This record gives sequence, structure tokens and C-alpha cells, in this order.
Amino acid sequence: MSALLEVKDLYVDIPLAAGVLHAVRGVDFSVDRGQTLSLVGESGCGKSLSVLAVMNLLPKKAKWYADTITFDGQEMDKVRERQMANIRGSKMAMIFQEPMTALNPCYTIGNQLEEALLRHKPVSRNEARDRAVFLLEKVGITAAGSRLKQYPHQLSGGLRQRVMIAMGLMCDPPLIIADEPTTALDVTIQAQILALLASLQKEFDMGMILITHDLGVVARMADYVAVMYCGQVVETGRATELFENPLHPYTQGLLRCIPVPGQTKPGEHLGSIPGIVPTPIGKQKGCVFQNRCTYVFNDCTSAKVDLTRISAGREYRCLLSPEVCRQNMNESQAT
Amino acid sequence: MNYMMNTEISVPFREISFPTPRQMTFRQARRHKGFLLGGGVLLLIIIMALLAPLLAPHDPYHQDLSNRLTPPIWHEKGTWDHPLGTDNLGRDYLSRLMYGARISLIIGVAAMLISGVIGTTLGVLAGFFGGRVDLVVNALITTRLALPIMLVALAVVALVGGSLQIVVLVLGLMIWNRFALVMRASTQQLRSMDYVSAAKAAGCSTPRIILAEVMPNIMNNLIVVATLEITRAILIEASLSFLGMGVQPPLPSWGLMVAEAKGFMLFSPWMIAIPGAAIFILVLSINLLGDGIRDITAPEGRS
Amino acid sequence: MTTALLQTEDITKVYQVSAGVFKGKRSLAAVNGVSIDINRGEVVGLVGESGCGKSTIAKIILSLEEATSGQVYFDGEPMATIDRKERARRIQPIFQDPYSSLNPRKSIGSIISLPYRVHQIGNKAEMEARVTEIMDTVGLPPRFRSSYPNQLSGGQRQRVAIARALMMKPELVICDEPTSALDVSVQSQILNLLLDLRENRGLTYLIITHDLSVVEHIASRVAVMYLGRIVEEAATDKLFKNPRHPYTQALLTSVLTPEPRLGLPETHLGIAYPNPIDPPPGCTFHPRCPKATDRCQKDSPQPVSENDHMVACYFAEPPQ
Repeated sequence: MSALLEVKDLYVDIPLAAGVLHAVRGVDFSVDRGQTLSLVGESGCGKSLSVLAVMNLLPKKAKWYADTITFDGQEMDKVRERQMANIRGSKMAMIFQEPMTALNPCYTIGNQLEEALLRHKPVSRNEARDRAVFLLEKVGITAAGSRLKQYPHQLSGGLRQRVMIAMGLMCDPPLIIADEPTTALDVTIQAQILALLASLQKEFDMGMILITHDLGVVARMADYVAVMYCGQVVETGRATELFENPLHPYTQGLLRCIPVPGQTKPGEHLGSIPGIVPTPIGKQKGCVFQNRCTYVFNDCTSAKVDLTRISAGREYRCLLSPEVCRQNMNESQAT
Repeated sequence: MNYMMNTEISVPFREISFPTPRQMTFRQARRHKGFLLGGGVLLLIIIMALLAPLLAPHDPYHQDLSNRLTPPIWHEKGTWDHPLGTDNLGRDYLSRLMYGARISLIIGVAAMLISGVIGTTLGVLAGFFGGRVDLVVNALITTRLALPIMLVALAVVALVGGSLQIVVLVLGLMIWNRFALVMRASTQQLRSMDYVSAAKAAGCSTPRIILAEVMPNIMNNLIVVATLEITRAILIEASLSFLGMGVQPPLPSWGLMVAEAKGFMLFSPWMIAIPGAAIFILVLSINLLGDGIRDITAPEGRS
Repeated sequence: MTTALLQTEDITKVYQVSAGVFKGKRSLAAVNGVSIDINRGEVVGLVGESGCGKSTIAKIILSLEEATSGQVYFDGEPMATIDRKERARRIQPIFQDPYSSLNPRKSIGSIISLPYRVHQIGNKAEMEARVTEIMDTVGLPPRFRSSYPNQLSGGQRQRVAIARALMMKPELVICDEPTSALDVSVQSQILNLLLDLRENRGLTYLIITHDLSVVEHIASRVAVMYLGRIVEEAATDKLFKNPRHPYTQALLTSVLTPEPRLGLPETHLGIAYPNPIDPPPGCTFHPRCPKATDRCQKDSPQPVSENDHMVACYFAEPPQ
């Protein structure tokens, strides 16, 4: 059975004054119905751009190319923008980070929800309204009928995000793409929204791509994880495998950086990754992580580093063997 | 569509050094056509005005009634002695044009400076302090907007007579409203910035914060407004002089030249066309320059 | 008993906001009767979510805003009696947004040396030496001195902000979300730096944040705020082991640690959201509280301190 969305060999280039920024280089990912894939990485790693490329929402001056993009059985690179506009919203729903600005302040919630459906399916306004009420209740908003007449500014951030989720579901899409859906929300509301997303995904059997920089969110939500660094995927795997047994030095480094109440010793130095992310302008030789890696050796600066496959879905991009990686992890945890 | 990235090649990612704000501004200025064109023409006009005593072929006030209404060089009857012809009193048009540039530029810049000081002070104070200061300044702006510039100028000139100085003063005291509004808006945006709070926390006095922290960041907007106000002053002066209520003859103000040429429009159309075109070109070049500066210093052009 | 370095006594800050086009002005109590003590050498963490007033308290302590009522004492003296420049020398801020806390038109050297120039201590040579020393301490390469903020990354800018704060050798540093806008790997660098600086220079910190993991790692005492009031306050390990207030419990449950087998937490909070303009009567937390009763709607619970663990709730867990 083929995956719901499969992207192979995605490249995104953005021309800047200082040169061409190779923001995404050779990225693969795929997601199935009922699964959550998380693209995780720090700012500038290309996770948002990868997904925007798939939805054909990149800014005009960006150039992108993929070997294949297959969505719901259809080859996407042959699809024109007009068809893409039909697919966006009805089959691929996107939930954005900022609930404050993602809703149009001039129109009522009900109006915007109904539009989301009427744009794609030939239903009547009454049917659209019924579906809107149904979904608002599904996302936990009480008194849905009266909420339809409210304007976005009358709702709090958490409620707006729930409305965004309802809007995404109006056309019953098989795929939801959530780009930092809870970053702008308070921590207590974040837990509620994530739980809501997880339960809706199960109920409607949707695939979900969750983009975030928060490893805690990834651990609790994702089935599969792809860790991105500077435009490349550096490690993939099931969430349980990846967090319990991280292989790539970057993944290991990230996990060491996070203070965990009850585990990291308060007042002591946190682990850290020295240096800053390089800017991918120009050509690059060797591993993209070479200038920050604790385990760097000679070959890292010259060899082309591909993804090493351990098993289906479990890959990492490093010249060190899995055993050495595991050993490194154990050693650093012992100190 | 084979757009494959070749990751085999050898140079590691360069250390990218992003340019300083000043370098970025220069780089963009060099490429902006409007800025270059407008700036270039304006520069020529300024040079012409500055070097008028050296460049002008004749004395602009010298009348030669035997040579009245000579057409310019592109007519069959034109001579190189008077390339742009002569006016109804036999004065050389080219020389008058060159000296006239001085008047336009002096009035434009002087009025802009006076109104700039008034408007920027009011605007920055209103934007930074808000509250009652803002209310007072807003009331002043509204009052000023209720007064039509032309009528006030005419009234003043009727009372005390017209001259270069009077025109500059009236304009300077009247056209400050755009300065005030734009500076107020810019300052308001900046007053909640953390670096202003940090300066306060570092012990900076309020005047120091306004001058050292806020002003450098609103200079871009200030320059753009300043160029636009120069053109406004020039046009109003031309209109006043045309009505006989501005600069007095025999000064070669371009507006006055247009007025004097009005009676001869049908038979010697070049007399009115030339100063009219001069005003047009000057205003256009300043506007292009101002637009260029605005584009170059706009935040979108920055990152 | 030595006096605390900083004491706030029943601080209140009320803003007048317009409630709508024709509805006139309503009062918004951003801070409602907050009393905190910060002792020398402590790291006090002030946690809460958006709208709880923690940033407003920071501004009041820094004298960037004036409290509507209540007093702030610094080293025993009322803050109002302390001269502006002395205040600036002894208390310094580090702000959240590394992109707006540095003047984009000033060079790094100029930004860092600003406090020195304002106070006019020493001559140019001494100032330059001090800037060099500070830049080295915070880990900024000397070549950045003539750079501009737009040429630096977020983490580097935050280091500049820290350098600027340390120029005058302050005693108290108010950190308002110092790492929230930074990437994870940069966050840990900055937190390590803050820990080192405190140890080497004997600084006292007030850390304001919504990130409980950071607070648990770095703070010695924690105060939890909700809608302008402190609802719980205790030493860090006590608070994390035994959270007594339902809101603190919900906050701690909401922290998502990178442990994949734990799934998503259930916070037991309702869908109601806190509205500072129209706060609910009685306890401000009762619309969302799983333990709320009629009493909670009528009377606001007073803070009660047992075993050095303060909590304002009728149904608080017993202290340990």
C-alpha cells in the first residue's frame, strides 16, 4: 500500500543578495493515513520550506524541485497551480502557527468556516453551516451556534486555534499539515490542543505532518520523526527508537541541551552544541555538521555523507557506525 | 526539469558576512534607477544654480529692448547669442533660467528646513510621550490643516508685501504638518522597542534617548518627507509668484517668469513653456529621488 | 536578619483600557497585590502564562512603569528615593527579544558601552578595556565590536544584551524570558553562561519565564502567577515535588518532556480562558479549576504560608 504523501529528493533554492541559499537539499519524507510524522529542527533547517514546497506555497523567487511527489496516488509534479488550489484546503489542510493572524478579522467565524467548504464542494450554505457547527463542537467549542456569528478578535488564542483546526477539517482532508501549531499558545492550552489534534486524527483517520522545534511535543505526539539540520534530514525513525537511542551526533546534542525536570541536575551546566548553524550558500564539502560535531574526524570534511539505512524508516546521516554512535551516547550520559 | 543540486563540489560553505546597514544602503542605492535618475538630474540643476555666475552667458537683469522676444535656437530666427531666446524686456532667458534655479532651490530648502525643525520636534514629542502632549500636538496639526496655505500666504503678502524672505517664512511656518504626522507615527512605533527600555534602564535621560536612540532610526523617513516637502515649497512659491504675491520682479523666479510670459503665450509659446518645463523637471527629479530613498531604506529591502 | 535585596510590597498596577468603541474605559489589573522578596545571591523564578502580569512586575522593578499602589524596596530603601543613575548601576535588565533589544543603527561596541558613557566613569581607554573584557566573558569574538546587530545571530545578540547589562557590575539582573526566542541549542549556551556569570560575579537574578523546565534548572525559588496574583511560592525542589495549587499542578503536568512513551498529559482544566479585563469574581482561577466550589466564586483565597511554602487556595494540597 503506497503512502498517503511521499516526497523524494526535494530541493529548494532561494536567491538572495549574497548568493543562492540552498535551503533544502535532497529531503525525503512520507506519511500515511492515521500516522503522525514530525519534521523537527531548529530555525533555518528548512522544515517549513519543505512543506510549503509540497503545497506550492513558496514565495515566487524560490525555486524548488523534487524527484517525485505522490499524494493520494496522484503524481504531483504534473499538477498545475489551479489544480493545486483545489487540493489545498480540501485534501491537504494546513494549520498555521499564529492564530492571531491566520483568521481574517473582517469576517465572522461562521463565514470563514463555511467558505472553507463551499470553495471546494458543491453543497448548500445550510449544509456548510451544519458541518461548521458539527466541527466546532468536535474541537470542544461549546455554544457553537452562537460562536458562528462572532469575529476572530472576540476569541482567545486557544479558541482561535481550535477554530483553525475546525476550518482545516471542513472538507474532511486525508492529510493535515500543522506548522508549529502550539508555539504561540500558553503551555496549559498547548497540551489541550495537542490532545485534540491527536484524537481528531484518530477519529477521522488522517495523516498528520507536525512541524516543530519543540522536542517535547515531538516525543509525545509523533509516530515517526525526521530530524532536520541545515536543509538536510540527518536522522529518521520511530519516535520511541529515536528518543531512546539517538544515533546522529546532532540529535544526541539536542537531547542533551534540554533541561528535564527530575532528570537534569539543577544548577549544573546543560549540554550544549558549540557554534552556530552555517548558512547554506555556496557549495559544501563533507558533512554539514562538521564544524559543531564533538566526534568529527578527518573524513567528515571531505566525504559525501549519505543516509545510512539501519532498517525500514530508520536512517541517519553520519560516517560513524551505529555501535560507535551508541557508545558515544552512553559515554556522554555517564558524565 | 533536471535541476539537481550538485553536492560533490569542493568548497565548504563560505563564512557569509552580512553587510552593515550603511553598506546595504549604498548597494541598493547604486541599483535603483529612479534614485539615480532623479539624483543625477537634481545634481545637474544644483551645479547649474551654484555656478550660475560662471555659466550664464549674460546678466539676467540686463535689458536689451532692441532684442526683445528673440526666439530660442531651434527657431529659424534664433541665434547662439541667446540660446533660449529673450523675454519681453530683452533679458537672456537662459541666464534667467539659471539664476532662477537658485531661487527655487533656496526657497525649497530653506522652507523645508524651517518646517522640518518645527514638524519633527512636534511629531517626535507627540509620538514619544503620548497622552496630553499628543493631544496638544494633534490639535495644532488639525488647526494648521484647517488653514489653507495659499490664502494665508496671500493675506500675509498683502499685509507686509512680498519678497523672498517673506515667502520662505510663510512656507516654513505652514508646511510642517506632514513632518509632524510622519515623525509621530515613526516614533510611536519605536517607543515600545526593547532597546529604548534598555537605554532607560541604563540610566539614559529622556532627551538622550530621543536624540541618540530614536532619531537615528527615524532618519530614513525624515529624509523622504524632507524631499517631498522641498517640492511642495517650490510649487507653492511658483504659484504665489505667478499670482504676483511671491517673489517680486525683477528676480528671475521661474513662477514669475511664467506669469510674465502669460501675455505672450500665443505668439511666443516658448516663453511660458521653458520655465514651466524647468519647474516640472526639478519637481520630478526631487520626487524620483525621494521615492528612491524611500524604496532603498524601506524595511523590506533590508533583510 | 539581613534585608532582602529587593522587596515588593503589595504592588498593584491598573491600566485603563477601552473596552470597545462605545463602551468607555475599563480597568485592567495587570498586577494585583504582589509581594515578593528576593534575597542576595538567589535566583528567583517568576512563572506564569500570558496575561499573568510577570512582565509588568519586571517593568515596575526597573522603574520603566509606575505601580498604581504598593512599594518597592531595594536594599532596604524605597525605590523612588534611589537616584536614576544609581538604580541603573545596580539593577539591569535582559529582555526577551534579541531582535528588538539592540538599536539597529548602533554598532555592537557602541551598544555595549552605552551604560559606561551615560555614567561617565573613567576615560575612553578604560571603557574600551572594559568592553573588551566583557565581550570576552560572554563569548563574543572581538571582531564583532564594529559589527551591527543585523549581522549577528539571535544567540549572539542575546550575548550582546547580557554584556550590556553587565557593564556597570549590577547587583540584580532582571531576565525577562531571556531564552524564549532562541533555538534549543542556543538556549542551553545562554543558560550555561547565565549560571557561570552568577557564580563568578555573585549576581542575583529574577528570571521571568513561562518555561518550567528552565526554571527548575536554574532557579532556587519559584513564584507562580495567575492573572496578576501569586498563587504559590516555594523553593524550587519543594514546588516541583509537591505542587499545592491546582494551577501549579496543571502547569507541571503540561510540561512536555522528550519521553515518547508518556503520551499526552491530561491537565483537567476547562476550556475557559483567563480574561484580565473581566476577571471572574472570587478566585480568578475558579472557572478552570477542577476543584472549584461555590466558596471559590465568592471569596478570593488569601495566601497562607506553611513550612515556607506559600499557597493561595482553599483546597491546596498539604505541605510536606
